[in-house]
Amino acid sequence: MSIKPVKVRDRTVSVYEAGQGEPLVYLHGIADLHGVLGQPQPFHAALAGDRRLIAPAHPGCAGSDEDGTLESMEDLVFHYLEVFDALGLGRFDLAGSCIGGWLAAEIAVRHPERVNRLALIGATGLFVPGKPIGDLFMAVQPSDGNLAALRAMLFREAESPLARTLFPDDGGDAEAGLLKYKAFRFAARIGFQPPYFYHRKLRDRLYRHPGPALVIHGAADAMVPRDHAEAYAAGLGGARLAIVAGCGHSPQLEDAAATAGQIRGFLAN
Amino acid sequence: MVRCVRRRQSGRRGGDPTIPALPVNAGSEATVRTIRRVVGLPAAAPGDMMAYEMIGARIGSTRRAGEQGGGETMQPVQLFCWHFMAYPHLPADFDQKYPTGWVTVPNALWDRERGPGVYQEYIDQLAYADELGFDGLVLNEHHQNIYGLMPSPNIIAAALTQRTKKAKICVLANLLPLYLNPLRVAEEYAMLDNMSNGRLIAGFAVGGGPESFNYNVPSPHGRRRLWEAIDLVVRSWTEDGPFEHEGPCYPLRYVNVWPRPKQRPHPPVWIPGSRSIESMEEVAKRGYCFFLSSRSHGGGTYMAAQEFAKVIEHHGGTFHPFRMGVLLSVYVSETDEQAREEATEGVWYFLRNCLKGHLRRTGRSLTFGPGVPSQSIRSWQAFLKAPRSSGKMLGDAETWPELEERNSIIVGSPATVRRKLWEFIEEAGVGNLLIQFHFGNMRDDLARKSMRLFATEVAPALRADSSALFAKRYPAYDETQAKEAVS
Repeated sequence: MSIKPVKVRDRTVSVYEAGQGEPLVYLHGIADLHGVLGQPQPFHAALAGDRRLIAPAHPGCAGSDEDGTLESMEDLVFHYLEVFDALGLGRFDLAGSCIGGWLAAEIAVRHPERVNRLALIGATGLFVPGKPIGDLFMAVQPSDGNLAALRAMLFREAESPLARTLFPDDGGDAEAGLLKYKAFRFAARIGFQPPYFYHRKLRDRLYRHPGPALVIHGAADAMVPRDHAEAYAAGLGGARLAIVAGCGHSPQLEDAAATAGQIRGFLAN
Repeated sequence: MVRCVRRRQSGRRGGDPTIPALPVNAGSEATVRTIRRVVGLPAAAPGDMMAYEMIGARIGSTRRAGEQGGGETMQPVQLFCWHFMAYPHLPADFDQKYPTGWVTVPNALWDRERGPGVYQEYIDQLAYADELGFDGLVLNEHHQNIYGLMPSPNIIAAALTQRTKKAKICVLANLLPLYLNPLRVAEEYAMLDNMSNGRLIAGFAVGGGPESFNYNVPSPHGRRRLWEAIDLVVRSWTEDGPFEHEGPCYPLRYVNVWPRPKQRPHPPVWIPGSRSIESMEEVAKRGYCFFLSSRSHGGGTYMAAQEFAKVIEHHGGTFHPFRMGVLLSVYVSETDEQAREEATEGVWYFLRNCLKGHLRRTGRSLTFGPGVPSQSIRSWQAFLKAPRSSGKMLGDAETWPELEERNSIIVGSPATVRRKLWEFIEEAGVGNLLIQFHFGNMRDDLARKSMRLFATEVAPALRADSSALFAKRYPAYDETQAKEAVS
């Protein structure tokens, strides 16, 4: 495995690569590699078990340069087209979690010729009337000096060792604090202003992905309501909905074995 | 009101102020860091309002050197009356029941019977400040909160144009990224400048975390939008229209603002900020006035002034006291004891309720942080790497000594307030003092008494003494320079 810098035009994109085989591109979320985690986790290692896993860091996250002009999902999709070109990727399987799941869906509906199988984990991106996505930006602001609200939004067990390690009340050390700030600053560029972490037209465009697709949803996701996962599963071609029991918004961390198992089974077919 | 007349100094050296009162190198980042380390403080943080106050409290005023005679009089300190227009009718158990005074504070708390009278009372107080001879009146923009009831300060400013005669009307500020089109601000400010016969000071700001939440302004984009909008507004005032503005944030085919402002080339522009070097750079480049928006002790303000002076010099300009303004909070009464006693209710209403969600650890602070990430990654990194202080913010203060030690709020008899403010002026060397006299739910008669005692028993001495002090320190100062700020 390695995390290596790739030049895309004049910017550096930090890319984690591991494993051998057919390429699988993974687009990260917040509680994830390149989000608040500097190092790959068991989930990422498991995905790399029988594939060449390629996980770039979004602009401004982890080791990737910030792009001061990035202000919409459209800009982000275009950025990724250039990343894929730079990596020599033609047609590939694509997975993503949280904001990365939204991005994966947007890429798939725009460029169905490049995306083979599509796997989403707790993906934001859809507008479902009356079922808003949680306000991540409000939740990350400390309340009475603690981050319980953020932990409760991202994990089923807000006070679990995992949640408290990733989002300690004191913000952690400077390195952890900076990773977190960068991830949220990136997220704010495309998710802060309406639409909040969604694209109102995406739902009607989902048919453009002919399938297959796997939609993974943590049974106790407190950020993205289950209706969103159901809408993805209903809209994408050849899609299957998989509910992961015992997990919140971050099943890739909360139950890495089950979540990676779902994806590996899906990709093997 | 006494207005001292500026005189050109016989010994002026044109653009070569060989004896700057603010040694340029003394305000370097390294020096500031050193001072902060010596006094056991973290490097200044975005939104770190207390840091300056704490530094100031521990640094004596003995470091000033290099003062030299030569002047006679210069424009004295400009004394402004600042008003937040807080909501004064909160229930007594507000702090126990509600997590914040901002963004989500339920508007069911608004009292529809007593609410309307609040505006009349506050406008009357500002009109009284004009009668008392304050140099200016300061308004500000806040949304969906109990801290400041001016979502549109321009409406209050319009009322003041009809109720006041002499004072500058300083709108600090209009939050440009909240507007779909900055021309709206250009137009309203131009109207106000005409309606006030040229008394407008035009403030522009990006807005804080609460405004980002209220108006959906993505924090990483705010500053880019702000500076494009400011440049567009000023160009719309100074350049003949119609012309096309090519964006990128606000592309406009026909820029042709009617009316044009009365002041030429345009009303003075003030930009509030904390200690962001990036903001200071933009202000300095354009020759605007920088307003330090934290309540700072003299030492902290001095250091900020040093930094700003350095930035100005870097851009080929010359620092003088009127390139900068600072926010202070004051309450004056007959004696020190009486002042504390009378101010207690209003001040603690302000600290506990108005600052909840803003400058308090209790409750959810929305002012800065990863949820409203307006600071650059570099700035945030510097903040994170700095050693942590106790993290106490203004609203966490428990006692009067705590507030007074930091000069967060200056209370006392006229003599006490005069002494403390004079120390501040000597120390900080900043010419525009923007002073909050009304706190939270303070009674009208108390706020007025404080303003009156200030105007009659504090201000005259500060004006006379500062006029002489500035003249000594800035022998090269002339009216041309002053035009850039308050004229």
